[in-house]
Amino acid sequence: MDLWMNAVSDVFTLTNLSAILFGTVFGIIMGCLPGMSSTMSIAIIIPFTFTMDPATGIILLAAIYCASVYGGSISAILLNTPGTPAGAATVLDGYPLSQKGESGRVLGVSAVASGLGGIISAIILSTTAPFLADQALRFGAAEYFAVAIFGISVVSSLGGKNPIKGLMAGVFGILIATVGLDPIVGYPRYTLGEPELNGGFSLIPVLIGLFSASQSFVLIKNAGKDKDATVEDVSSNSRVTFGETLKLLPNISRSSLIGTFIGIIPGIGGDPAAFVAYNEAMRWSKNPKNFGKGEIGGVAAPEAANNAVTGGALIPLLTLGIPGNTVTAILIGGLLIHGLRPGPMLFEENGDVVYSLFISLLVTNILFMVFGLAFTKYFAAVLKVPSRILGPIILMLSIIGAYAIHNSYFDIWIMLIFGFIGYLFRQINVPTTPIVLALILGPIAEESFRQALLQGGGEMSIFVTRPITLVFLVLAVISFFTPFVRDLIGSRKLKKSN
Amino acid sequence: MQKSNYIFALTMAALALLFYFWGNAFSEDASQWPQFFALALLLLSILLIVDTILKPNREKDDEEDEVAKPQIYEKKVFYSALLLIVYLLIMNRLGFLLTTPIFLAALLWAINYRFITKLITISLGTTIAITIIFQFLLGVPIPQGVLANLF
Repeated sequence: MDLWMNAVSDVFTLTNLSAILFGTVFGIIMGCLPGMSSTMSIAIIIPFTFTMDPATGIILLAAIYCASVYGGSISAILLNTPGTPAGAATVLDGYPLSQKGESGRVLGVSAVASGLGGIISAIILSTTAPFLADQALRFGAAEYFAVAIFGISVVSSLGGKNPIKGLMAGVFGILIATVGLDPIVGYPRYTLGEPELNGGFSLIPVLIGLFSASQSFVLIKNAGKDKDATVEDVSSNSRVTFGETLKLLPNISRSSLIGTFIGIIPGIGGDPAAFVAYNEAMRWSKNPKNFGKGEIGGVAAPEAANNAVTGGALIPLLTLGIPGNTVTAILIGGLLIHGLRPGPMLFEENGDVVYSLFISLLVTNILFMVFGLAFTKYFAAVLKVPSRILGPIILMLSIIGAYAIHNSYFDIWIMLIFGFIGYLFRQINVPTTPIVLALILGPIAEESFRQALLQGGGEMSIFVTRPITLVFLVLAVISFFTPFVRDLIGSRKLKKSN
Repeated sequence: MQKSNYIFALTMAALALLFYFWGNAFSEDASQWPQFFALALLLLSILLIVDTILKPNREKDDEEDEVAKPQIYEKKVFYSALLLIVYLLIMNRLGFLLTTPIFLAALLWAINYRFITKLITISLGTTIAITIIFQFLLGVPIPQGVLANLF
């Protein structure tokens, strides 16, 4: 209880409330802009948090995460283009309704559903995570190896239509992670005699390169090709009412639970959660035929679900140190620069930061709900900023952000190299998320694998005789092969239908 | 997408071989992990080539008739990259404050932004904003170059 009370007094300080406020506004704006993902928004802000108190830095990043997911719905509703992938399902009913002149009402429902979805998932996170972390305290090297392998195994499901490419990106990430001193014997590997590489590639410049700089190259490439997008005006005469919110409450609650649960499973993410919730809302609705034509329940469901994913995804991150999706992988970077290693020990050693994060999530969700209801008209104005201005500015922030961590030019070059790699990979449909997952989990997996072998006298049986290790390894095998099995079933069905 | 898959697979295979053979120079303990994954990458590269031959339309979009050809080479990106490299080399000596407005203006010009007043405002505004935020508000020093004693 003391931790909770301390967390409340910690969050309600001027500094931390300002961080939440800035994170919320910045997150909504970035989420609004098509092409600006939550991942990119966080990657670009991480260097700014470097000199902050750890709790303030994490609170700021979490606020951006939650608010940017919500922001994605604004462009989905007004522009027919989701600002973030998680907003894709919102387009289906959001845009038709705004074309009917009901944009004020739809944006209101979206804000309320997103906020409630986020709050429900934050409550689930803050009640289950401490318990799970407590259980995870008993983990030894073998268990950590299994957990890391489970985390890495999701890369096969991140390859989109080609799981092999996802895997290749993951293995590429593992290899890149071996650059630097060997974790057990300290032997320098692939360092080219460069002392700056002894510690391996710095995570933050790599993250900024892969997600921010590469995005700026994409924006530069598309400069001047901005579609003549018609931004629907925010109609102020239609508003969401309390009665309507009450009617939508069962839908929002169901969708929030779906989102939280899907968020916990590594490798799935916000967009499938939104579509699953949308389908469920349609199945439970009295007017399923209206879905896709402008049904308000079709906006509430995906919005509640994709924001509920935020709390769900933080559960494996905080308790086990597994980033289940790209955004949480980036958040690990934000934790690491403050010397906070996610996992069960985080609750033991930095419980104050974790509990402050829980409280701040609740505050953020309430805050963007209020902002969404009151100021959407102003946020919608950023939809008119052309990409050719955004590209160079993001590039500049990437450069200075990469430099800021260690005051090192070397880091700028690393960022740039990974920026180009990210850009090239995007162009040929190779996902970049597996690189980051592998870069973070690869060293943990190697170190714990070798430590476990030393503890087990060099016998591999240590990985199958410990029940928790075995469970996670089995889960890893299932998660690894699922996309291939799905692919095989899909091919057979296609053959049959031909 | 087929051609880019082949190029990607061959590049990754070359990288895998490099990591594998380079790993021979390490102690046995230090080499096993990277060499195992180098072999895995090599195997996956071969698998991607085979898969692309067997299923050339795997990445085809349902709505599209043809697989969209990736446009990797784009003049604007090429010029930006070139400008960026020159900028970073010069910034090392002259510092952020002097080089950034010129770089940003050149970059915006290179991507066909022709509103001169806005171009100058954005270039100067971004430089000043970043300097104020990092140097003064966050206390993170920006590269100062020849203006090392200014702040």
